Amino acid sequence: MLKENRKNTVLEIDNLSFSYPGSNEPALSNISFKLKPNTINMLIGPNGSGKSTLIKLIIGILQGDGAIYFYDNTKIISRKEAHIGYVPQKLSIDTSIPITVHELLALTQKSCNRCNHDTGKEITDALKKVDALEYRYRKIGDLSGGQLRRVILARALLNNPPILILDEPESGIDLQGEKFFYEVLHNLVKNEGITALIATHEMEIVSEYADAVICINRSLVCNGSVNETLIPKTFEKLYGVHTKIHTHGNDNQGKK
Amino acid sequence: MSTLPDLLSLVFIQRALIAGLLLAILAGVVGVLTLIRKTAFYGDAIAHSSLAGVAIGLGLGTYPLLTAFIYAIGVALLLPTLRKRLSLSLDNILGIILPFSMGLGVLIFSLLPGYQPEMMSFLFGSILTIRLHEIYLLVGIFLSVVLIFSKLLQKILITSLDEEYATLLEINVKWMQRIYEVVLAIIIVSGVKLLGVVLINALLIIPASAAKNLSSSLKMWLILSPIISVITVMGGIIISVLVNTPPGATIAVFAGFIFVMSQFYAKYQ
Repeated sequence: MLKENRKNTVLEIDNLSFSYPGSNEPALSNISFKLKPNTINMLIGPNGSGKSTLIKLIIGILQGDGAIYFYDNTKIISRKEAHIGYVPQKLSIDTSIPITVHELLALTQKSCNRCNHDTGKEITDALKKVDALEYRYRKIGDLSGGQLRRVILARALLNNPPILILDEPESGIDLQGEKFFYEVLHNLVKNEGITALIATHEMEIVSEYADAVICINRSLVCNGSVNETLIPKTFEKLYGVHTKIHTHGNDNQGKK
Repeated sequence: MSTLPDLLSLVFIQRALIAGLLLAILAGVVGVLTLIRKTAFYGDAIAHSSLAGVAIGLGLGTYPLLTAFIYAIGVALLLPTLRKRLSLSLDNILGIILPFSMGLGVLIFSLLPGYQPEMMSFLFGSILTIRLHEIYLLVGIFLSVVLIFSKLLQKILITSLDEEYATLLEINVKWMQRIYEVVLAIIIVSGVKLLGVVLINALLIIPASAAKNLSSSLKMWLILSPIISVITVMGGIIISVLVNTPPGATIAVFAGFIFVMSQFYAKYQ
């Protein structure tokens, strides 16, 4: 039975809870969901709903109660073996530091004990995937917000991770950059066999690209397809607002 | 007035130049890490703290640099725990440690019998006081730090640049931070006799800042910073013996001059 449940799952969150030290209110309570392979999963919820906390728990920066399972086919693997690619909400590196894109990626690659040490090839491959090879020897401070986002995505793609976790990747970029970023991401998921979990506030992006939506507001509010989740009831539960959903005669379940 | 070759033939100046050279190379590299971590004030606090160590050493009649090393390393290792326990920002805790330790140092000096010329030389630096065994000690420190950096510089760099991502890469972030902090404390105390507690931080920050202005990559920054640091220290010591000024102050002013030049270069290149 358990084996059946694991089928077609790469990541399973099981009854996950977390409270920050010194806080009486839990940041997350009893969150459970699964991610299917080769899908784009959008994590939505208002500010302070626990999206970033959940992401930090999944990538192992925070430790909570409950379980997080990573699967390789039906076999449970460790987080280390699962090899997660991560794109943070904000690059914590000061962009006034004279570091080139190549150096940033090389430093990441060389500091990773388990990674392939053919650094040059890995960097070329990762930058090609996000269409950013031309920025390789430019300083990160000379890049636009959108270009920098793609470079951070390339860093996450080093060594071909099967799971990508992105925390509001559209922050700090313009509409054109955002569109380009999600097109690149969509192609990666569809062509490279990656599973992506993306925290976002952009509902238009969710409706266009998501295969599945997970809504949280400290606890799980909804989990399902775009049509099942992006409904007025969800927005009322998440944001406390009454909404009307306008469709364009297109009931797609994520961009195919 | 003595000529430069005459002055350079003097043993105490040769010792000061050797000490300055070794110190400048180390400070140049660690200065880059300090700027990346945005903790310029940290070195200043450790330097000022070491005055208490010097005073304790003189009070106990032991080798003052030894107690300065123990005090400064102790402060460096204690800071993270204090920050956590007291829920204070780094800036805040340093603002407490610096005046407390410096005050403690001055207080102990004031209680020691007779005139204490050591205090002024530790405060503002002196090239007359570098002894031969201190050169050997500095060579040992230099080789140890080079060995540590040859093994760990990449991991210390990625931890300094992006702590969160370093955690994801399963780097022991806490260890890397402690290693950087202890190395920084050791370099600072090593330079206290030459530059003084008030000005040693200038060697850490100003050449690295000038090199940052001139660099187009991290590699270039890591190479240029020790080079500029060496030019600063050598130039500062030579100027100080030629015009008979305190070495720490001369090096700090010379470093400031080089920084202004680098700023002009960066703006008008």
